[in-house]
Amino acid sequence: MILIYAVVVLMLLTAVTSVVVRNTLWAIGSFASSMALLALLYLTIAPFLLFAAQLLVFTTVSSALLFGLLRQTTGLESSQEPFSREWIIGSAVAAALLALLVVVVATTSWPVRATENAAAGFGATLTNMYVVSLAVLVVILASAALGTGLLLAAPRGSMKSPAPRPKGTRR
Amino acid sequence: MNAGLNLILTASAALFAVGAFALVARRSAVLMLIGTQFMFFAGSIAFVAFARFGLGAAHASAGAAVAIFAGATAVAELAVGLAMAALIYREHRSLAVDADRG
Amino acid sequence: MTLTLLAAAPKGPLDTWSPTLLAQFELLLPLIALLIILAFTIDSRRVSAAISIIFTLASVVCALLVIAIEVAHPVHLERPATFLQFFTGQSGGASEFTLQWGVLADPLAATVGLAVIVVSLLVQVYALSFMRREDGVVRFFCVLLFATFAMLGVTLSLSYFEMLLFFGMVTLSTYLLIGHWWQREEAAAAATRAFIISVIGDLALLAAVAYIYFRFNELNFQTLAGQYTGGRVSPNGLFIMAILVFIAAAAKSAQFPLHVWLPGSAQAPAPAAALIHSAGSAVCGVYLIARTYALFHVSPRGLALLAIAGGVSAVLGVLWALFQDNLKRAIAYTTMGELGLMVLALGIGAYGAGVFELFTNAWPKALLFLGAGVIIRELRTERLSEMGGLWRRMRFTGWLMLIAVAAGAGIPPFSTFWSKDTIMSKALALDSPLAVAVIAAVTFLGAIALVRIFALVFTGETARRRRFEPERIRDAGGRIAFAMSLLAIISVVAGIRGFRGRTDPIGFITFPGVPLANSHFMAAAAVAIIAVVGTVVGLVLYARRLPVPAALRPVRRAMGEGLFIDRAYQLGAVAVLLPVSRAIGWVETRIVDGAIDLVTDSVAFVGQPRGWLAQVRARQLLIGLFAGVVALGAVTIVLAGRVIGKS
Repeated sequence: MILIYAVVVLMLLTAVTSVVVRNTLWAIGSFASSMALLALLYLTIAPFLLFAAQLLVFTTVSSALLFGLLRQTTGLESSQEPFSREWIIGSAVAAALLALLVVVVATTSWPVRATENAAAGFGATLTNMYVVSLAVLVVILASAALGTGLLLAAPRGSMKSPAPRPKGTRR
Repeated sequence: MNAGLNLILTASAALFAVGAFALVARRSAVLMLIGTQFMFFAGSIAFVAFARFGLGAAHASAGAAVAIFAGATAVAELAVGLAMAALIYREHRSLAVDADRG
Repeated sequence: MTLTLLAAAPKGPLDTWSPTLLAQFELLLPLIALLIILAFTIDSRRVSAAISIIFTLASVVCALLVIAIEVAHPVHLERPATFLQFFTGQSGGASEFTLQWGVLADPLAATVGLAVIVVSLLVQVYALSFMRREDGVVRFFCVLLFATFAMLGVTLSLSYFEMLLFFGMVTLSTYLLIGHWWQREEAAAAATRAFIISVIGDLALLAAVAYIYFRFNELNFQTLAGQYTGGRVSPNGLFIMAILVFIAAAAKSAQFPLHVWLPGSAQAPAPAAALIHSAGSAVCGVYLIARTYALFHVSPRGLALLAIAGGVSAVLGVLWALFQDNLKRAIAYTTMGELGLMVLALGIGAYGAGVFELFTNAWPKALLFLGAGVIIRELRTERLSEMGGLWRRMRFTGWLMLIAVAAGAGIPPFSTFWSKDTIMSKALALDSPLAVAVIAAVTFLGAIALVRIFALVFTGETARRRRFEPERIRDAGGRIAFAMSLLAIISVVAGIRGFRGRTDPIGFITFPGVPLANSHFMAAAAVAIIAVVGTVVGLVLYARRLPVPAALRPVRRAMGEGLFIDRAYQLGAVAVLLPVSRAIGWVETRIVDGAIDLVTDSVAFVGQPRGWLAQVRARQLLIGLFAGVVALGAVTIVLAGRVIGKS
């Protein structure tokens, strides 16, 4: 139990760190650790597959994407961002949201019953019950990948479209 | 285990608030996108928590399935958003989403 | 999965290995090769070709193992292996329906699969050398692998739906193969025509799948096989299903009237044409009929349809083959004749013989096309009227083509003799003079057509044309010769039937309920005599190059063009489809697009901020969004509290 507390607290700490530091590189780093701690949290309350997916796929892929973007654009040297007035407004908004949600959580008595960790057959469930969602997800991912590639490649025009060769008529 | 559920739901709410803060307060496109990622995963945590503590899903692991879908969608959105950020960088030589100009 | 032993022999690997697992490997290896090439080695010709051949060789080994296992234990009701199972509806509910994707490895699938994969391997070896100097070699190998995968998928499908999917893939692969040299206009047009007709077949199969599912609520071949006779569906319904399946098969196997794509397939490069005709798309139609034979078996009208259509196509095919000037087209029309004969065999009830004919005919057909490729390349022409006297220069190819012609014509003891003889004996056993006459005519004319090809190419004077020096002709060598010789050897031995029950190929592929047609001595003699006589007649007629009398020239031209059926289709399509398309296009542009444009224009109008709204910054919008969420949440809580408090 104490483990879950520790993980949750650490995760929130790293999350706050990542949005508060001014150095973008460190922000990405603490984002990655926050996601990894989230994976640890999943380990305790969710099927193992989810922990694995969260850790191996989501964390690494998003960190790699962010890191790659940073490398491509501003470079890896530290980039500072000045403290601006919007932070106060932002904290106000965050506080309002947090208050709303905490009030809801605290005042509702959820009808809970502890279930065992339904890890067995999660893969089968995923492919049988949710096969349509999986298919939709595949389409979404494929379009995202395609769109990203196209967006990045467009202005440079380095894509060579295949053209008919004039001398391909050998028998 | 009401305490466990409340704990995780509070964590989810806090993570969501952190994400909202990043989205509103920061100027760099990268950090705003990090904020959206936090918000996505906060929702996933909530789903997983409710599925784990037995609030009557059709399947015991339905919450985890939603978490996987939401996570994958988040990564897809991140990819596209980062591509747009790269384009912004090409135009303006800086990653600041210039909110002052609309 | 343990198979029951039929004899008390010690358990070896053949007794305990599961054919379905090996069949899965056989199916997936070409696909894996294709993916590897596409992902990694697409820039290197040699490595891509090597990967392709190695994986196909591995697949051949699997296919041989599958056949060996099946011969040792011919179990007709194999439990199929499934990759994925989808459930629709609530689990345990009455509407639960299992859609299985997997492989079904029974003797029928094993035999045809073996033919497919071995022909594919030999074609690839041939293409290594034949297409060496071309531009699109890697693309060719990729398409060959894809075509092999699609054909194996058709062969190993276990449900109508899976077969439909693989049929679509075969359509695509046929298009890609025929249109390999797409820079040539005729090739592109031929590929498009083949694609359209194959798609017609796929649509018919889709309709069949829908109708069968609607009536039987089941799509698996094995489960359906027992359900056709249950009386759930009326004979008319079964006949409709049979018609739809037959249309799908006819489009793929070039039966009349959907045969117009076959002559165009001669535009494909020789190895591609070899694959298509011997073990590719042209064969999967016949395979579909064989696989769904349970459906035809219970519908006598369906069988009659098969027999009639098969007979007509066979006769027309060999007739037209006699009048072709283009070498590859002549071979293509003989293919149409052979396919018609296969369908006819299935129609009159010679199930094992029909499938065996498919198996034995693959080898000489492939060999003919591969040889044609070599000949065309050396002679630099495709027209038979410009060829001749090649026997002196290309002796080795000549011998191989002779074997191919003899095997295709049905001369004993070459391969197709054995299957034709069984078909004929079934026709004799049925006491149907029409069937016997048709088979005899097809064998006779087919022999003449094939020998005509041989005679026009190899005998006679050496062809001389402007700017062509016959002294520069070289005979085939190296890998090309190796591949072709292997095919020739198989053509010779493929038909030999053992006289013990276990190794009899016809007895191997049986259909429960269809009596085994053992070969009659009289039938064997009849077929042998007809084939030999046809060969002699062909040699006599064509070795002398008798000129066609002027009165018959229009007939010759009409026959050469396939009785202008293709032109009629084109005119009909233009006359009928074009106005319909225009009308539908008008509807789509004005009405459908107009409605959507209306919606999007209104949304854009609303979304374009004007006045003070345009000055709002993005951050303010975000803040507004979250503030709105909080407000909405608060209002909901308060209201919900009130509602819950009241009730």
